[in-house]
Amino acid sequence: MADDGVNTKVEAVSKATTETIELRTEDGGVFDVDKPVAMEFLILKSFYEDEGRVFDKTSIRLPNVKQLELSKVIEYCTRALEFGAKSAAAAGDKDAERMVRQEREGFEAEFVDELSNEMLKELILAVNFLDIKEMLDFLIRSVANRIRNRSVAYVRQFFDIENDFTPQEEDQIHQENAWAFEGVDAD
Amino acid sequence: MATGETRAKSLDLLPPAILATIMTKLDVGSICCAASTCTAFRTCASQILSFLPTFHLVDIAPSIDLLRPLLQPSNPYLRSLKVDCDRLNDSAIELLLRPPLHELCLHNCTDFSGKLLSEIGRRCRDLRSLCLGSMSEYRVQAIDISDLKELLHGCTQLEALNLMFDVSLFLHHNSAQVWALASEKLTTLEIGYIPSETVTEMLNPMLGPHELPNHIQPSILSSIQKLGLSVDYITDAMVSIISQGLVSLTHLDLRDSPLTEPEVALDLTNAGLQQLNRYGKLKHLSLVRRQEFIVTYFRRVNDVGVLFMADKCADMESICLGGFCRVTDTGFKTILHSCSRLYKLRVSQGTQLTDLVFHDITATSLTLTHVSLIFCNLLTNHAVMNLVFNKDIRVLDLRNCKNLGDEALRAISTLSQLKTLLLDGSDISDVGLSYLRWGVIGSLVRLSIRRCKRLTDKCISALFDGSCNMELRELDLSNVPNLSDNGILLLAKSRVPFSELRMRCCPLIGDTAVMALASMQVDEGIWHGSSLRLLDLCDCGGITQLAFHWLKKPYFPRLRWLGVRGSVNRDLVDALARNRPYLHVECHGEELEAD
Repeated sequence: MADDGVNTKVEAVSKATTETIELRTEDGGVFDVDKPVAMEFLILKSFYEDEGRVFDKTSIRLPNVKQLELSKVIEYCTRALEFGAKSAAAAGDKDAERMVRQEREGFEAEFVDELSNEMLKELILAVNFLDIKEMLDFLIRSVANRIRNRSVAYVRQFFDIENDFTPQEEDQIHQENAWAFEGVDAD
Repeated sequence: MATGETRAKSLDLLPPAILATIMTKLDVGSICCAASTCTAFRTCASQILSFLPTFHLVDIAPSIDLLRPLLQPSNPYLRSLKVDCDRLNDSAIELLLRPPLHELCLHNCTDFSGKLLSEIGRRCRDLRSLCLGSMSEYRVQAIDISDLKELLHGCTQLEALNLMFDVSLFLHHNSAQVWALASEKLTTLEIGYIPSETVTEMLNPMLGPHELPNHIQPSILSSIQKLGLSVDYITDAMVSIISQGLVSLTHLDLRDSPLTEPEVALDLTNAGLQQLNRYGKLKHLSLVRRQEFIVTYFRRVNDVGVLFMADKCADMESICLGGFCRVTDTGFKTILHSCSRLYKLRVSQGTQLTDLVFHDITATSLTLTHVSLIFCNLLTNHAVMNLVFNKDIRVLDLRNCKNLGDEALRAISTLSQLKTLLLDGSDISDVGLSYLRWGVIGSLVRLSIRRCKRLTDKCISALFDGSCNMELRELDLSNVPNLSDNGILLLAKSRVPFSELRMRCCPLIGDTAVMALASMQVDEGIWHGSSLRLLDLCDCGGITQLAFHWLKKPYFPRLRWLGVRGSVNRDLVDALARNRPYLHVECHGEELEAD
């Protein structure tokens, strides 16, 4: 992702006087984000690097992101960078690699456990806008885990959607897909 | 991209690309479920099905009509296909066999002919891995050796071949020339049943009577690293030829089920055991004599053979010995002390195995993760207390060790990584099981207390009091005579989302238990009904036609396998089958297996 190596990222994150970017959310939140973390947001990365802008102190407004979401995004991306660094440091040592992996899985499980279905969807929209590939994949997998092997009613409720089939379509679908869900009928 | 203020949390705002990506992470059943929610999802789902790389449908047996709309013919990305073919036959060949496939796994192919094999060879030339189950099971459909030849000839990229059925009907003489056609890339070979004589002949063509003296044969199947065979008799000759011919062998798994007591020429002896691991690459070894037809053991192998074997097997990681009744503590102990990398140990019918084997296990640097000691009747709690010094044990199978009791459970409760615990037929009580509550119950996924006759409903209340987050999904409470409906009520109240529950031969279990399970609430009350996929009520004393009412839809929405018998009306079962066409109902008392 960044041109610098992972080690430089680690240094950058741990230095007290690291470069930061100021981000403003649409509901008035202001965040000082470490540069390495901010560069995970490809929308910002291309803003600075591809268009050759000078990295100065002006703050950036994020029109589609709210405070709560941005703070969660920053939390995840910061930890993800840390894990990446630990993983690189542990390369070659199977036990250490396994420990880093387990630690990461534990963090991710806890992170997603605390998210309501609403929050999960809001986060996906935010992360999609900011273009953070790794986190988007993680959130998508989490949604898939939540709707796997669930009833039709549950999936409808999760995405807050209405049954817009005609009665004939409804019949046909029942015939085709009844094997996949038994017992819990449409409301 | 969505803009500002009115951000109602509706589907419209999740970009279709993201919806599609979410769906690609789902199994076929969940995709079809999602497709049934609204028109947008339905469109999305049908698009997904046209480029889905993995199609696995094994928990129901689809008919060809159900399968056709799901397996889009124009899907060039289909790489992995797994289907239960119980309701399919040769007419499904065109639908199933696709050129881009790399992995193909078809279970229950009883109604297919040998054409399946030859067509795979013709159509699926990029195949890397093939697994076929239960072909020619009723000997109705004929398979010819030419079908296998076509398969091996056509699939030049094949790396793993698994023929889980009896190949002896079409594979007899001159089988060597067939296997010579196998690609050099073939590294894994597993066969459901093959006579050992055929194995011996197929690996050493020089023994064939029709070979010309100056006809040089390349060594057959020399690239094989993993070999798994079920034979009639494991013999010295077969073991010798395998060890000699397969120079890259890392995994060897041999099982036999003798019909009669083996003669010395048709048996494994110390000499045969010494031949193993000739090239020093063997990491996994499994030699098991099953008592399927008669009670029999490897009577011609004793400590001497095992000592010689252990000497050459210092790098072994997994050892499984079944039926070695003449091997004593000396032999087993030598294995533990010679194989420092051992993580999997399985001994079955270890009639002379005692606690002494594990007495100084702390002196070794072993990190065992899978331990199975089945039918080892001399083992006592002391053995378990020493075993648990291996803190990483994930699977502990102590079935039919009748002298194990509560102290063993106290020791087991310290294993924080334990996922599977099987205690069938042990002498444990409710108190013993309650020890599990303080530790291991949080990590356990599968628990079996079958035939633990001293247990009562109290053990359920001790373990399942709803206070800790449980990973437990598979529970076997069969043959526990004092288990009653009250125990099952407690189980249901605990809201643990079990996927498999077996309660065979429990005379006090009846309709109330079924009702309790049917009323389990999951998903915060949105969805009523338990999460059970497998329920075995075979020979439960109190099951009447009332229970059948609760087995119908909409109860037990995820149920795929059901076992019932005893005083059950054939009509009731038929009515249930009509109500739930995709439910496997077993009425003859056979054990249920979820795929």
